[in-house]
Amino acid sequence: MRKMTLLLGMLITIIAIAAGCGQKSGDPETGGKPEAQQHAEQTLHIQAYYTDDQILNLVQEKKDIKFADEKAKYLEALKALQSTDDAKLVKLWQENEFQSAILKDGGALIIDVKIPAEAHLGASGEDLAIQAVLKTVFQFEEVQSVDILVDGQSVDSLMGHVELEHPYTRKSIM
Amino acid sequence: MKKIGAVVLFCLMLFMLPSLSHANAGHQMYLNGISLAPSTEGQIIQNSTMIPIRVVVEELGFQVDWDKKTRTASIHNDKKSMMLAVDQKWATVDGKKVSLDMPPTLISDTTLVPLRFVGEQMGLVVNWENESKSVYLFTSDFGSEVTQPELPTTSPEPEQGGTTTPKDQDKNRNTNEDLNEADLENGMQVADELTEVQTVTFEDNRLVVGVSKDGLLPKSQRLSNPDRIVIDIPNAKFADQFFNSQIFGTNGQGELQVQGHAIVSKIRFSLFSNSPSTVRIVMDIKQSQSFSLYTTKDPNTIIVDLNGSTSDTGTSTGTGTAVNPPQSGKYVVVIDAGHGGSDPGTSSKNNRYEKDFNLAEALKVAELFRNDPDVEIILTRSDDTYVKRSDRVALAKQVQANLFISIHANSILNKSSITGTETYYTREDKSKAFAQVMHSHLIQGTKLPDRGVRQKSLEVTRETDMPAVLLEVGYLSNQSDEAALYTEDFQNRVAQSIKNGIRQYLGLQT
Ligand SMILES: [Zn+2]
Repeated sequence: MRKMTLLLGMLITIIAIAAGCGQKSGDPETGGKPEAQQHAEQTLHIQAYYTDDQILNLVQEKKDIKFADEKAKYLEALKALQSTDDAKLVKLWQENEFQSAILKDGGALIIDVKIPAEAHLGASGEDLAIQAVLKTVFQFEEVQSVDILVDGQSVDSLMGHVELEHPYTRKSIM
Repeated sequence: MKKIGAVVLFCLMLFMLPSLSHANAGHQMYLNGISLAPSTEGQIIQNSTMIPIRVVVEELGFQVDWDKKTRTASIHNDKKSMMLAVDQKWATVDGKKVSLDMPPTLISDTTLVPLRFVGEQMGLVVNWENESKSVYLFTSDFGSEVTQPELPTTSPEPEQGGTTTPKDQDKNRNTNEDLNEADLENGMQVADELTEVQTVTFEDNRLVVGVSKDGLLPKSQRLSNPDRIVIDIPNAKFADQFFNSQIFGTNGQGELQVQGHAIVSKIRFSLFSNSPSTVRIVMDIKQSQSFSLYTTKDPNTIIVDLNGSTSDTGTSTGTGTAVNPPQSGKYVVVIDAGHGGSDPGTSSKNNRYEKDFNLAEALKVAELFRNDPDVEIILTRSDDTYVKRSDRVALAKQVQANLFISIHANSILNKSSITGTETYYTREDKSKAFAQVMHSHLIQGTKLPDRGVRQKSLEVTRETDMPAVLLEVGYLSNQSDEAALYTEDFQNRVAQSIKNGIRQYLGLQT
């Protein structure tokens, strides 16, 4: 009986994936339907977060992000953390890679990052780097929770000083 | 009720009695007190009792799938599953490899599996009663009888692998209760990873337990009526040589009389649980007594020190949180080398890792305190291994450390001009004053720019309950900091400054 339920669950999952693939064929790259190609590039003003040269506090800076697909805006917002024109600011994410940021049902944002060993920060930097991500994505009011994964894995810490919450909720940044 | 002809001589697993190594009819096997059917004869093979696989199904009620091709039995109930293959010296239990003393074997078309292993892994308590040559099996849902089976009033052979002592047996009975409460909630233990308890001695108001490994996390509790201190060493058993010595009685319990001591009357120890294998040591004391528990490395020991900490809350001094001074023992300071093993921490442009600096520095601090009369250093790691932050915190709490110091080195790759020394704390009430003292010494040691004492929510400084700091000694991303951090001279200076900070905060001469 349990096996049957499992099998049924798997079938449903497969159907769901198949349905997702069908929708995806509307993307411009895959030569789909015309309305998909009409995605106009949007510009959005957001706050991006860095730190001061004391590596003690977050410092915010206005940034414009551009995206064609609404779904891409979270990743674009995160990528804004990797650059700034202000030489006084210290970038917390420059050497790391945001691989994806996908909003699931119920406002659960799943962020997948790659963190090269040489980009590990000290205790304070690590704490600020996490806070910067949270503050950035919680600007979007549809985001209710954030789960940060490393190479798709749910790990206990990014750099070994601060434990990750899986997931963070809006309360986490209070 | 059916009779069984199976031979079930469990004591032979540990005690070589080759003359009995053949099938012997007429012995009984009981499950929750009810005798089982004699579906077939079991066999003793190399001191392990082997039973046919159909007994596992028919009598013990587990499900068994037999794969003829691979000669593999998979045995399962709704909680656990295991796989054993004929002639294979290990089994898989819930996906984990576990070594076997005796692999399953095929004898005239009957597959025999080791009864104790299968029974215990599937959650049964297995007891051997020597006088009547019977096996008593208990399921974990069999109420309190699981932990204290009522056995016939005869003395069983000493046997580490799980014999509990019948409670109505002899005059010592009332003192054995602590040693018989098997804890079945935790899972099974991989046999070859067990720590061996080699000696138990009492001297200078200290219980000293010699063990085969370092880095253990024993648990202690103080109980009353009668007053006693109970120490549990998880994942442990007695070394065979120790267990076979005179100190152990026929009931498998060791006892050490402490003559003429003001507080301690005697010390008892036994294998208290099989899953996981746990050694319990009980100190019977004449009055309620505070103590400190800590471990040492080289030699590896667990020490229960009655000289040590008091349970008073202490009085406040000008330097913030008061540390309870030991009456005649030592302060315990945990030095935590950050990161390690798979977690390299930060790294430098020249590919030097933070974890290596942290370890070198921690070892130097420990060395400086080696003969210190007042302070005992406990390291969270003493080699390049990964230790979870939660385990570092747990260790500090378990040894009832007076102070906790985590050693780190910083990095900010895209701002390599940043240089200097920072000290972090989390809990203002407990740790701020300590952080200030440590930092003032540390910057004298590093001779790097003073970047201040800072408050941050970091796991090891937040979750510990004693004054705790995290030192970011310098920046590996800065060229001159990095060059300094890996020199002997710098590391020695910093170690000395850490020692000075500790001693000053404890009110000791520096
Ligand atoms: Zn670190």
